[in-house]
Amino acid sequence: MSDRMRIVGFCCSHGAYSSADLAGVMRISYSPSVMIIRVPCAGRIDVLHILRAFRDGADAVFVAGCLEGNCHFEYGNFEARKMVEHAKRLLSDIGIEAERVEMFNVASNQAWRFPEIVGEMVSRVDKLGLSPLKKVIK
Amino acid sequence: MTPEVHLRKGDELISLVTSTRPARPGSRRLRSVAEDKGDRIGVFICRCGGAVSRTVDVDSVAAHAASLNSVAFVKVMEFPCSAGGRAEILEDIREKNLGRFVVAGCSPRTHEKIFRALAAKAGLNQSMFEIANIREQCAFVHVPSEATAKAKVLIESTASKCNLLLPAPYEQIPLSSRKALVVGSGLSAVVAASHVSDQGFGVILVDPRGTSNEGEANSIKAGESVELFDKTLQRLKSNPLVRMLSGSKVIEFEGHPGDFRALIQTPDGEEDIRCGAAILAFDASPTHAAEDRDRREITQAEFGSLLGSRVVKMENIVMIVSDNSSEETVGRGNYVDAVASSLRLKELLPSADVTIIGSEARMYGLHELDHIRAQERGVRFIRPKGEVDIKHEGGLRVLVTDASSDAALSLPADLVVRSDVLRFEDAKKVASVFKIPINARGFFVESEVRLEPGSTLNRGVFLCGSAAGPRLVSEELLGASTAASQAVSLLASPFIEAGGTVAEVDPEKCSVCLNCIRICPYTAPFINEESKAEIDIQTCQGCGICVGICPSKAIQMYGYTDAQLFSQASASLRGGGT
Repeated sequence: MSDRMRIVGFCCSHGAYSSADLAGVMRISYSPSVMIIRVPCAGRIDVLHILRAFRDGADAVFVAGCLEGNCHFEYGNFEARKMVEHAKRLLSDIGIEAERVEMFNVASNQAWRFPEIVGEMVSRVDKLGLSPLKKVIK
Repeated sequence: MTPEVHLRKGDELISLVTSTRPARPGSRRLRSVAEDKGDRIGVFICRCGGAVSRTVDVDSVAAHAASLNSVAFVKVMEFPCSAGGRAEILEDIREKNLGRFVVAGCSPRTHEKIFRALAAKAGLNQSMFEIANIREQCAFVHVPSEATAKAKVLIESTASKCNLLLPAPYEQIPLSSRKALVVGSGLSAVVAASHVSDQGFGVILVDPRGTSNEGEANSIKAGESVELFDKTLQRLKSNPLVRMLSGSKVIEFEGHPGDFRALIQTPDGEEDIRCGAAILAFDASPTHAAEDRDRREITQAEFGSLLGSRVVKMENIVMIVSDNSSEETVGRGNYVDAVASSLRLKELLPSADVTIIGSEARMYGLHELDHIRAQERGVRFIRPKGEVDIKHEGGLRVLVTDASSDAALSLPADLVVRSDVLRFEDAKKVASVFKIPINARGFFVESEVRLEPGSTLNRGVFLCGSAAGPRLVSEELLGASTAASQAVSLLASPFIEAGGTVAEVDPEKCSVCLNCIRICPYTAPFINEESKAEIDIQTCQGCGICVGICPSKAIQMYGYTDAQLFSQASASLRGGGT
């Protein structure tokens, strides 16, 4: 495993993924360390996806859904938030900083918001250092 | 904004799990999700006329893609999405015997449909391709050296997901009925029914209040809407396509778009009918004021019928318009109603002294002309500062402080007219029959107000009328035609498309915990005759919330199985070579 920073972002197709597309169209750059995984709704995410991303060497993971009250699938973003909160508890139980995982809400027309989220997660990793799990992963 | 979350529980949950339906044959395809079919993957990399290739070194990306184990064929193209590009891909799929493919280029948000059609044309299942977004999410936002490295990772992770794709079910289901069920008694209901029947589709109009009460239905509204209501109703009565069930209500409703079954309670007993779409066209009605109130304090609706009787003798009228933002369920047209009735009063009794007290003069569009007319005829408008008090001793007096002059006024009143409080009494019952959510203020909830107005979470059930939110008459009319056109476009379609990226239950893993039934926004999961959860592919919208929440991991979803997402995430963390 290299010592490059890698952040996994599970992005809902309707909000965050579209926001990232719009950021692209508007040429708002952000760190290439973020790897976007498209999901139909943030509610598709299970705590397993977050934990396995860390196991596979992610330094941070975020889930981004639609704005609260504006989920394309009514309340998928609330379910996602619960999963993220659960993952935070599990991670801190095994000594990984809970700040490495976060839930965000983005609307598809908020082009500036996606780069902002990436910036936020990158600065968290800058502060915390690369994931301690990286040392044990080959 | 207060989010409105409607989760099923209690009786509603029980009613959903106690009806048994047979299991759908052949719905166990997702069981072996991690299976690698060993298909040959083709990767088509787009230069996008330089938009990608200016930043990304596509040749080096292609070389990396070719080095991947799962990839059998790589091609760099100018515009894979163009007609020529698509023909080229089609040829390559056939010639190189590709089982699935990756397009590296634009966002799937814009180009997924094009390549889905291409996959179908090539004789593959429509879901056997993936798009790697190396344009919007790579070339446009990163500097060249980083963009090339990232494009490699993106293609690698997409290919690793593509390798695990499973053919999704795509079905074309014929409509069993092309009739629309319209439920409601007011203006919205008759207008929606007439729009549908005018376009040649049969209508069953279920009218809970009974059309004989038509006068009452709209006493609140201005005169012309009553006329429109009567005229439309007469037309419907003489239309052979329209069947009216007066004084009836829907007690059961189930099925799919194009194939609904409704059990209707009519005065002559129960009747089973079939329909292809349903329109809920309820209008919220003004609530009755409390019995023990002062008889000189009435609502706009009551004042409307008073004006209708043309025996108004009161000289001093004070109207108090409640703010639209108040907690109570109020109409959007409070101010409009007050101004309209003040004008009608002035016509009947020019000497009447009318005062309208309201903090927000919300006169929408051309209603502003009425506002001006009322001012010209001497109607007094006061913007209150603080509370408006009413003194009941002796003659009625309204105490108010005028916000612009700070003068404390005491207005004599023969009659105080307040805004109507609108409520839709049966909302909860109707919502549970039609399986649509209601919000905290007791209104039906449209699923997508901006993109698909009039639609609900229950596909094939459409909404109009003020029971879907406070509306002016003009908006009710617009809402009725919106719902009618949505219903007609469904009824006119040759077949209903179902399937795609839907969720599926593995009955062997299902522990029947009911979590999927509780959480699904669309009531797609049900318990089948084998006592296992099953997801109805016609109802499933492919959000995947049940997949995430299922504690037994019995539910998977085409296009987004756990195995596919794990593999995509893992490859995006490890991939990219050196």
